[in-house]
Amino acid sequence: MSESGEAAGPGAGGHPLKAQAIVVGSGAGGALTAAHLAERGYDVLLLEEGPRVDATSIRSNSTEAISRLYRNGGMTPILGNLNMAYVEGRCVGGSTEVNSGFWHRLPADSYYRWKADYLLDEFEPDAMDGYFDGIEAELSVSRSGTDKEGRGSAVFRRGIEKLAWKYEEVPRCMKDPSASAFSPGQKQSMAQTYIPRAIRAGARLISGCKVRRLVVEGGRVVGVDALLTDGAETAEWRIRAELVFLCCGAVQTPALLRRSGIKKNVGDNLRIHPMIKAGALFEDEMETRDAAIPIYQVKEFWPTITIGGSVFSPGFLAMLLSDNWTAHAGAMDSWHHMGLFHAATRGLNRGSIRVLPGVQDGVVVRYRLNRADQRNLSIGFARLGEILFAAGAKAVYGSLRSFPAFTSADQCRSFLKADIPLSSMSLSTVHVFSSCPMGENPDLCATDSFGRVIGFDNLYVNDASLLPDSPGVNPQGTTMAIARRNLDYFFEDSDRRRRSPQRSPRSEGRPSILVTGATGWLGTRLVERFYDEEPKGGSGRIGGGVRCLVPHGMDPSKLTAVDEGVSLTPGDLRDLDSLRAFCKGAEDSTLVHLAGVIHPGRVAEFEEVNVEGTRNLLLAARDAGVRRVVVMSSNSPIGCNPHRDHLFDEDSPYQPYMGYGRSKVAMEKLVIECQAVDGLETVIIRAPWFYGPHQPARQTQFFQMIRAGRFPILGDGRQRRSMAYVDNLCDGLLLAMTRAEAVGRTYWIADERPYSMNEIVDTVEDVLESEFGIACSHGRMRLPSAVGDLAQAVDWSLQKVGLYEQRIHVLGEMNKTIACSVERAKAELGYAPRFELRGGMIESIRWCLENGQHI
Amino acid sequence: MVDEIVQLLTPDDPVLAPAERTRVQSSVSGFVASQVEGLPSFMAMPYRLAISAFGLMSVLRYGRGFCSLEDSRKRAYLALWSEFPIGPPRDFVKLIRGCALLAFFDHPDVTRAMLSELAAEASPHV
Repeated sequence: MSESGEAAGPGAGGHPLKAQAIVVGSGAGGALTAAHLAERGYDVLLLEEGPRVDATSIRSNSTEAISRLYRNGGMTPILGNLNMAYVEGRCVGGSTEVNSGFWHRLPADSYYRWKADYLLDEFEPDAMDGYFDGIEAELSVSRSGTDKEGRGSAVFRRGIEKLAWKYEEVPRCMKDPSASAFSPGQKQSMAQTYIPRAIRAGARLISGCKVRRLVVEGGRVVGVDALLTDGAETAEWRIRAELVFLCCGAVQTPALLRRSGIKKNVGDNLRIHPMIKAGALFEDEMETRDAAIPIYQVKEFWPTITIGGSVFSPGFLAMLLSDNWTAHAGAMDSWHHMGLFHAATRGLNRGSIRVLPGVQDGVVVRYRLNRADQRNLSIGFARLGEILFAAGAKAVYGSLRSFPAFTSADQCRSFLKADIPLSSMSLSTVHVFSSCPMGENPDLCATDSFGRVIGFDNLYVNDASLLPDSPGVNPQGTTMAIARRNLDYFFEDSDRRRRSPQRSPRSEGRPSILVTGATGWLGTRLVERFYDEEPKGGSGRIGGGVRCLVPHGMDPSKLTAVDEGVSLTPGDLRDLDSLRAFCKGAEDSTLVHLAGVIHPGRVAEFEEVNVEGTRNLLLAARDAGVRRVVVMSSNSPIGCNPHRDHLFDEDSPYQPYMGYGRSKVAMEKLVIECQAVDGLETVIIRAPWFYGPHQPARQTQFFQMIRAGRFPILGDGRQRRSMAYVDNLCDGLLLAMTRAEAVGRTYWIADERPYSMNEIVDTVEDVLESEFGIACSHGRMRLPSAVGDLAQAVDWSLQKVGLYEQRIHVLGEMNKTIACSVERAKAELGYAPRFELRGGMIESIRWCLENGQHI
Repeated sequence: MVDEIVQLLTPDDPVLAPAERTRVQSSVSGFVASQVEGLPSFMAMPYRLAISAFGLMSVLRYGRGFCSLEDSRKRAYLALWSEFPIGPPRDFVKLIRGCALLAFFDHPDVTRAMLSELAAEASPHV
């Protein structure tokens, strides 16, 4: 690494690049994040897309600065009913290298609005004031005072005071707040402050490094893929990390997330402050060439409209006049009598950020000015005109196409009643935010209240994207204070997770067991087993309260009939909010996750429920302090045995069978990752075809088909299937819940041995006739084994296009051997299957008959 | 062609020495070109199409390419585009004009000339 903190890539040293924490983006949020992480001892790699430029060597706001420091030459387009330019920095230090250094605290009304609308937790003005205080001290935020105001400021103040409107001097983060906007190195930008601080603390900085996508494995971000440009050479890197903080700004952060497939509430809530400008001609020499930007802002119409001064140069003046150059070019002769000003409004619509696939810089920013925006911009321009004429302006030139110079306040006031046509406005903005809003509102928020991206436990956003909506002021201060606050939470949370969990005594009313899928037949039986007077299977009595997750539309009556200690929580695996409610107060409990989709209506449900739903559940469980999670998997991740005598064990490799199998593989990997990273105790149970009381209608149909002689036997019927009687399975689950040896392990749970299809059918026939007196036809529908292969091919084709047909799927499995060994469960857990096929089928058929099901 | 447009849009005032004028013109053209190149790729293509359309329409209208027109015809044609009833032709000219004027008046030679003119106005006549 160089003295400046620049890190060398793998090409230079040959070593793969990795870090404990990657921070993407070196602007206001990123620089602060990198500095504090590094100072806490984290190994930090700070990646910046733009170049590292010596700010002291470039005149601020010059064309050289525009070319070298700004993204798209200062003309990132925001498309909509009126296209406008977004001016954004793209260099080490980000937009803090190119902005005016104005500093605002978050206005009071934002706190209440963000808590009410976005359900933002733990966000109070008193606490945030502490963060503002600290950063303001670090950045030398201060006011210059009227005795040091420039001519532009004095003239502007004269106009405001004549109208008796409220205004304030806006502090700036400058070494000398009265310094010129053109003075290199004066601004307390990130390159002058937090970035050197981060490097001193050991952070490594790589500039010219564009992160193209996040690398996600097993539901966890494990690093980034980045493109490094070093002179004429470009190389692609994969950089591994335990933590990733995205601080690329309100456009690039959501773009990166969406490019990486993370889209929930990402890039849908963009807010901006559209700005209209005016140049004013005064009798006085304005001395604006080397003077500071006017330091006053009008608050009379705040929060909807803010009015203030803009950076002046002859070039910027000419740009403003260019909308009507033929008519207004003559004004350049009086450039030294002119100043530039603006009116900005709090945009009331929501824009979007989208990425174009396959297009390297294909980030599309959209914002549609609504009627209220147009109204407010018109009013803002009118009020600005009033101020300027009150200050003594002789003429006001607006960034308005086809409008003459205004020569009186009355002309400007006409826009208080009649809108300026949108097509006439030339607008720009320097403030965009809210594209990844933080909070607990699942319909709006992309991150939780502290910047953690929903669905991930090691991916954070820490920049202006997080602001839930428009603050109505320059967002740099708020962005940095929120970033600092979020980091404090991150540090506390990390410390808590590193400590051994306190085993607090179970208090009354807190559940000891959580169950998903409890309304299903296995779940219901398991809940019954919790309350067995004489526990069976070697696990001991569980006791304690049981809380069951009940999706909408499911009948929980059998659960509440078990015991009054069973409580119900409505929820859905796809709804993280409901899962958090489900897990709330369940510290130190055991969660049994049985819910899942086996036979879906849409193939997409495999991913939505089995994978994403499990991820949501693990996240909620971990955050609630659940001690152990026992997860029900299947034989499908392992596929079909290579020959009839083969038995799968727990070390058999993944060979997932169809979409369900793939979803269960992904689910198992999530669980394994959770065990490894978060310290959550996990156990995976793989169960094959299970049977027993409470079975669904398809199992009863199985008995009916056998009785009628219509059950298909494919091939010679000697292919084998492992089966699990429901109470054997419950025994295994109870052992997994209670045995210390089970933690971090996977177990097959099934009957003692697999059975051939012939044996299964023969046994059911025998039980029906000998135990229950139900006559059977003894017929067999023998079909060639190839029928199963054909059904498998059809099943594969259907699933490929997102369709699913249960009967085809089941038929496709019927010529396969799917058999497992339960030796590990027997050896490690003391599992001893109490039921075999005949006994299990007796209980199954008895339950059917006692519950009014006809066989 | 963009260079030709830039030349047309570059103001005659302040007066510059020929060498200065050439230097400034080159700098302005370079800045405008860099701004066009710096557009996001999904906008750069439509902009290049607009440049082609600008040239083609000149042929259709005048029977000659834009660069072959007399200055007065060039100015008239450019004015037509910058006052077009719909947005895209106006935006095409607006981008070039805005960047050209910014670069021109930001150039140190131009700034020096402007300040010299100011000083000359302020000096008493001898």
